[in-house]
Amino acid sequence: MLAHSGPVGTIDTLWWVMFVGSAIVFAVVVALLAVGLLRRRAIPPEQRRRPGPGTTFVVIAGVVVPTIVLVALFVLTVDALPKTSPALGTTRLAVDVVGREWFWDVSYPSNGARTANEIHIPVGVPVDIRVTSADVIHSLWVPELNRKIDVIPGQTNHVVFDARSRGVFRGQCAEFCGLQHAHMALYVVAEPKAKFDEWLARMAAPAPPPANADLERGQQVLLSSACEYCHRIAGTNATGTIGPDLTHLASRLSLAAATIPNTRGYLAGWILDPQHIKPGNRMPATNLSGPELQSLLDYLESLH
Amino acid sequence: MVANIERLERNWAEPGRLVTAIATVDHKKIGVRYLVTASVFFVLAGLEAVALRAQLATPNERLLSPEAYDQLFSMHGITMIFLFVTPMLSGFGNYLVPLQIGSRDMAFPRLNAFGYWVFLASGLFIYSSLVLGRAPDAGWFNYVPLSSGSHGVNIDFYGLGLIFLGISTTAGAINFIVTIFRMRAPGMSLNRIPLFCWAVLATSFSIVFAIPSLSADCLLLELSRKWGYHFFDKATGGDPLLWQHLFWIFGHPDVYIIFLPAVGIVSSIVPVFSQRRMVAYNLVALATMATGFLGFGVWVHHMFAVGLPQVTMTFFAAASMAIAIPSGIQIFAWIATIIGGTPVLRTPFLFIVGFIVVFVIGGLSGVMFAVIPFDQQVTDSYFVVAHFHYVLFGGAVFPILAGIHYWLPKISGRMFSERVGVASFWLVFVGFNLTFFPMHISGLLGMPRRVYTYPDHMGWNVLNLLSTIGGVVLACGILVIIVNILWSTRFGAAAGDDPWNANTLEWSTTSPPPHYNFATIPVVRSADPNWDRRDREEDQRRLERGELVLADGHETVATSEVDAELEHVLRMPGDSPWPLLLAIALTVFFVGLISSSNVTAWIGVAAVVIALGGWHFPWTSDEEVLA
Amino acid sequence: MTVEAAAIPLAGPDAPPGARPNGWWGMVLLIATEATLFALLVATYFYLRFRTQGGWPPDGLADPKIVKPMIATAILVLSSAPLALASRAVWELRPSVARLGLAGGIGLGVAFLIFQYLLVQASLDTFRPGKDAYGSIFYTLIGLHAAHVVVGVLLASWALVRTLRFDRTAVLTVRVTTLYWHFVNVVAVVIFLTLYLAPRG
Repeated sequence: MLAHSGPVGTIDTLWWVMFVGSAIVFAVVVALLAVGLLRRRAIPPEQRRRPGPGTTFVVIAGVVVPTIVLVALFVLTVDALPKTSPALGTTRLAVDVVGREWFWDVSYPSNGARTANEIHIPVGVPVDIRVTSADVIHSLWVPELNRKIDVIPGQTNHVVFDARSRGVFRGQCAEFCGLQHAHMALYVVAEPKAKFDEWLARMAAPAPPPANADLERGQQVLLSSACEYCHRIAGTNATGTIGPDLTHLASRLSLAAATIPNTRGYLAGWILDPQHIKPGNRMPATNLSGPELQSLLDYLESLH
Repeated sequence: MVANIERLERNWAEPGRLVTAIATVDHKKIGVRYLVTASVFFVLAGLEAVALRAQLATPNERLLSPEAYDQLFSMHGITMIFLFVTPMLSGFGNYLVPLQIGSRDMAFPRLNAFGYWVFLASGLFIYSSLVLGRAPDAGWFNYVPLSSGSHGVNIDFYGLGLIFLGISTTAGAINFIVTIFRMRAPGMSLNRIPLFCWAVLATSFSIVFAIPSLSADCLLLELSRKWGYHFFDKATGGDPLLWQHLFWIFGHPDVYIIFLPAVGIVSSIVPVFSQRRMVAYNLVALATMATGFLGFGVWVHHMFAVGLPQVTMTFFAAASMAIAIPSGIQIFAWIATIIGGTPVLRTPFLFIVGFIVVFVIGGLSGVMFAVIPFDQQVTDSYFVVAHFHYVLFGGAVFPILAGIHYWLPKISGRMFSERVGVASFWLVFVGFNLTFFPMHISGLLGMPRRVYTYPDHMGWNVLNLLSTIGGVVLACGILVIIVNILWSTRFGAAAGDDPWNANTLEWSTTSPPPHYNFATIPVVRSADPNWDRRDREEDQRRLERGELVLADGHETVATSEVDAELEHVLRMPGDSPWPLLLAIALTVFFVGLISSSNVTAWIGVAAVVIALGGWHFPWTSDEEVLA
Repeated sequence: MTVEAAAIPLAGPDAPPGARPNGWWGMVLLIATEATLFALLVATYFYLRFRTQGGWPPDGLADPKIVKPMIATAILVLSSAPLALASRAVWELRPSVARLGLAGGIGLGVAFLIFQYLLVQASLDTFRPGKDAYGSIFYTLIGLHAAHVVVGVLLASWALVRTLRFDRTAVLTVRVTTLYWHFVNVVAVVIFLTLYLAPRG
């Protein structure tokens, strides 16, 4: 795994040190075992209690050497821990993430921008990700950016994302949270500051109004189906907060918490039968005629 | 002498098969019941695992629905930990401890029988959930609020079932502690007891102090679920982390409850198959007790990702590293014993070698988890799944398989097939590593645990397929072992008293032992009593003189706690139906609770009181009236 | 070692009744598990308290009044005296005195349970277990302890009946009952300190 951030780099270094150390210890143990197994001199029964490699060996190999190694490891731990823990004074941007069964609700307190299942951050800026849960315990884990942090109801935890280079990093829920735990993923997009600022401003803006009659029809389909009970599209009458915010749906990389790509075909399949893709999730099927569906898709695809 | 043996045979004889089945208090029969029942649960949990691996063999597989998968992975963990490994080791303890200390029974024979019946009843109670399609589905550690808020009875099978099972575990632990302290053969001071008995002692003390934490947690859970109490919900002043703390205060000692008896088995086999007494016996005994004790001070390392203060985490990281040292002592003591000895490469020893290799890998990955930042990256991923299977399968199952082959001749009187044994070892060893080694890699590549499926193009496909194939190989190995055991208990060659030239007392009596274990209570003067031929010949002469035969009823000796000086003769209870009746009464109580039937629950309470009265009533009393 | 079977005392009148038989150790260990259970629940009380922002008891609930619970606890603690008397009496092979002691203990135990029941009924008017974590842990501690007192009363009643055939097992029964009884009384004091005095701290 490439290190795209300082903390992950620290963790990777720790891993390689421990891996090499472990390999050495394992090799020594196997060698000693081999020595024991291969030396097969016949010894008479009276000799069963004779002295041999004894307590001294056990104390040196089992107490002294491990103590030295473990103390060293402890020092490494104490050194690394602050590097991977949230140092709240140093962050320059905050993002609020609320874990819900089974998606990620993302908002930016600086301007009220709201999205779902996708976090954008500017490259080279330490970002304070503040996490809490609306229901059960989840865990936010973007392995290329930092360690995992549990997402607990009633408590706000923090993790810092500080990407060294641009890229799209995948994350996934890492604490079993029910039926669709396996499909609760997200993307973190690290981009240059200018692009990020533009994105952030756009996310705070209301949804673009329908530009033609077809899109009007699509919006009508949305507002007259059950969609508005769960979903929010800023600037319309859809103000539900149970499901992900859809205001700028078309700008996202994926659907259904990074389970399926954001393409017209997948979106259609999702709307018509979400239970097929994520059985047990909270979204019911929506019954639409062919033309209704096409208009709705056109409208959703216009939500940049 | 012959007359004495006849009297022993008469006094210890059991009436008929049905009465024996219901009422036996013979620790050997109870031990075998534990071993067999636990093995059945092992196979069930293994089948659950095979189903999981089939689902995970390829990405986006649809063999199992998420509901089914969640119940299966939860039951796999619950069964393996609660219904297989601890009862299995309890079975070894039950069978062997009285024999190894030169006694004729456990301190509380009826409590022993009761413990088994409750294990069976609670196991059936928990498994009825699977039959109903309502098995617990929040994982074996059952975190709140997912579990506390779940509808339906699934989680209640967990909460009530584990409280029920805990009664059995606790009863067994109390029995082992009192037995080991009070009923050893004269001369078997504490520094001469077999290392297996030290392990059982450490385990039992851990059980006494750890199980109440699980019971407390389950009590709070069920009060929350059934009576609307609030312990785990921030909005009403509770805390979801309360569940985790209480759970892991039990859960971490539990891994030593699993590990310690298993290493007790290893310490039994290594000296025999090296034909050399155990190196650094004192250090190993000390390390065993230290591990049990220190195990209570590390639980927070299961919670490094929940957002605790750095200072707190650092303390527990240090403690978690420190606890590696007693294990290191044991590993190197075994290796030193092997190096200084003449290894006998038969099946039991092969499994021990497999144990050392696999457990060391698991232990090394375990130490990595004490390094907090690393833990925070790989916990809840397949890396930890790999780690704990290496320490649990390596650290407990390999020793159990070694122990089965080692003691089968004693229990059944017949030898297994060595060739089939060797083949089964290789199947298990290769299958195990093929299943679980790739998981280290998929975890490092970001695959989280407890997922019923995973996406394509993550780099996880080949690794998962290898694990599934490995699982099939492993299952074949287990199947071969089962066939070997079943075949050999019928058709195996006669084993004789001591086929292995072993050093502990169970090998000084016949295979299988008579009901009364020893015709005369042995007198012990070292930690390897069966290698003291002169003492064992002296036992024979004592038998001829009629000393320490104790043939008037079910009699054995009570000795002092530390130095095992003879104190007095104990009259032990014989067969009794009350342990089974009490277990049935408890079952009625728990069934009442899970079905929310107050009437049934109260009937159960009444039945429990009545059964307790019946158990203790002096139906036939040969005790002298004092006043 | 030459040991004639006849030379070793049977667990009978020749062996001293004050010795610690297996059953006694068994009760000690049972008490260890139950003590751990209560210790963890008391720890839970303090854990919840120190994790709660704001006051304790929460939501402006008044500190629990201490006078009546103190009297109830005192009644129970007092009952250790007749039980200790009973235990002494069986040691000295005087079953009728033992029965008196047991009866006294049972009487005080039942008095405690009645008093406790009335106290709980009264406090349920002010706060219920289902209200919040404070209520939940409060009633859990009180309820679990009361259940242990009930078991103690049943045990003492059995011990009393058992002394009608005054053999070694009867002696042991009274002794382990007393052990258990003292343990439950210690728990009563701990719970009193936790629930009633600690909030004032």
